[in-house]
Amino acid sequence: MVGSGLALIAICLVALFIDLKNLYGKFPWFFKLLPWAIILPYLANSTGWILTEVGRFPWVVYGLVKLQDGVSKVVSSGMLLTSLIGFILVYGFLIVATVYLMLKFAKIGPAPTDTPEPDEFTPSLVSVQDSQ
Amino acid sequence: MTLNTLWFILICVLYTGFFILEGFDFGVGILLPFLGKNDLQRRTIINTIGPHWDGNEVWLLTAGGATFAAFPNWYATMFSGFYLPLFLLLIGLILRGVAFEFRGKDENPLWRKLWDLCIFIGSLLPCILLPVAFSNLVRGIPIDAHMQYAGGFFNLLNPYALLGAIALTLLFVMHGASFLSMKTTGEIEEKAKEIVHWLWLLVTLLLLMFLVTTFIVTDVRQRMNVLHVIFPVIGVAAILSAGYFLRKQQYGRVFAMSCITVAFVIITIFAILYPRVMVSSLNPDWSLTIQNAASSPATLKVMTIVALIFVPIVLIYQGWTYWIFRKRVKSEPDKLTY
Repeated sequence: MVGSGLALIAICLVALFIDLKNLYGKFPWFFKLLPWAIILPYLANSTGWILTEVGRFPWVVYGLVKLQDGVSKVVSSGMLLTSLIGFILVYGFLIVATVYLMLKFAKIGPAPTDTPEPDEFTPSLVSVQDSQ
Repeated sequence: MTLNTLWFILICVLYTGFFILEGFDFGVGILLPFLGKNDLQRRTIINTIGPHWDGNEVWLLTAGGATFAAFPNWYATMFSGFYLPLFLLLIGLILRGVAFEFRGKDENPLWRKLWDLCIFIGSLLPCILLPVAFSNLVRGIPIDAHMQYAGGFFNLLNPYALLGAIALTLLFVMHGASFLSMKTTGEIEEKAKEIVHWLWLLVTLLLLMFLVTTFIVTDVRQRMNVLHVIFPVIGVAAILSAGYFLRKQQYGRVFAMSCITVAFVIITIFAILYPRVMVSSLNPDWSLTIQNAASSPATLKVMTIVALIFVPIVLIYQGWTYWIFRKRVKSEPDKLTY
């Protein structure tokens, strides 16, 4: 969590530096690397979540309720397994659909905006992408 | 009035609002494969509920959240006892919510068919499961002395609960069709009107059967008060008026009447429950009530203040979305967002 957060900050600083100095042509490897940074927020989010859950163990409500006291008495392990498998299947299906859409829209590229921005106000990032 | 009663009423209001609002968008979701002949029509149908379905669904989350905070024992017993039905409900709502967002993102007919199927299933499942749950709350389920559900999954699928599920599902479909008759034009509008005409008599008969059975299988006859008469009578009057307005072809009023019908079905169920929240079929003393299932008075007090501030704000902005999107949705491909 902390690592990916710091990595994101570092990437932002490098990107800001490149943009301010308009050094777009000089660091092509940086732009090749950037798409892989998409994974970092997801990584930070998931690992952060795992950290809080594992860090609270053996409490479910810190200092008040322990895990074994929080277990539902009437929910059998069979039911839990059923729901676990169900959620894995549904989320597996949703991951496939999401990745498919992400790849599809990444290949299409950014959509043209409805109202074209006037040229003189076009930020440097956009103009450089357009000229490539 | 104690805060416990106030929160019981508030939860009733939340479920009532939920079923009035999400009732029609569930109905629209169920009608989608039957009313939408081609992709353009299906997109038009989805766009009628597009701006509303997620806001409507929040009423269910709020009702669940209010149950958790005001009556934690009710929440614990119900969510553990109804584990598998609520799991299925969640799966349905997940697939439905994603389907609305994903279906329009790809042209492939198979892709769209897949998500249309998810919308259909995701709308049908809650329409069956929630009435099954509510019928069982009021009919009584095996709850032991320690507030634990002592039955199984199939205990919940008794004839009374299934009757409730069928009656309410068809009511929601009719409710959805009358919503579509106000929000669409041309072929879809005509077909939606036809469906309301077809369903009205069936729904009326099923609701009357459900009402009579409710008075037979629950303990309401031993605890009758005037509200147990007034609420069902308003509901019956509303569904009969819906029939009257149907004959006069005033579809806006038909929708208003189906809203009132949905509302009073739910209100009647809560009126019969009160002051219990879950009825035990094993021993009346083991039922969960607004006293033994409640949070501490301090919690209820804080929640009351918060609710008094925020509920009106939410009501205003939800009402605003309906005002903004009050016009009919036409089949104009470039204007449809879903």
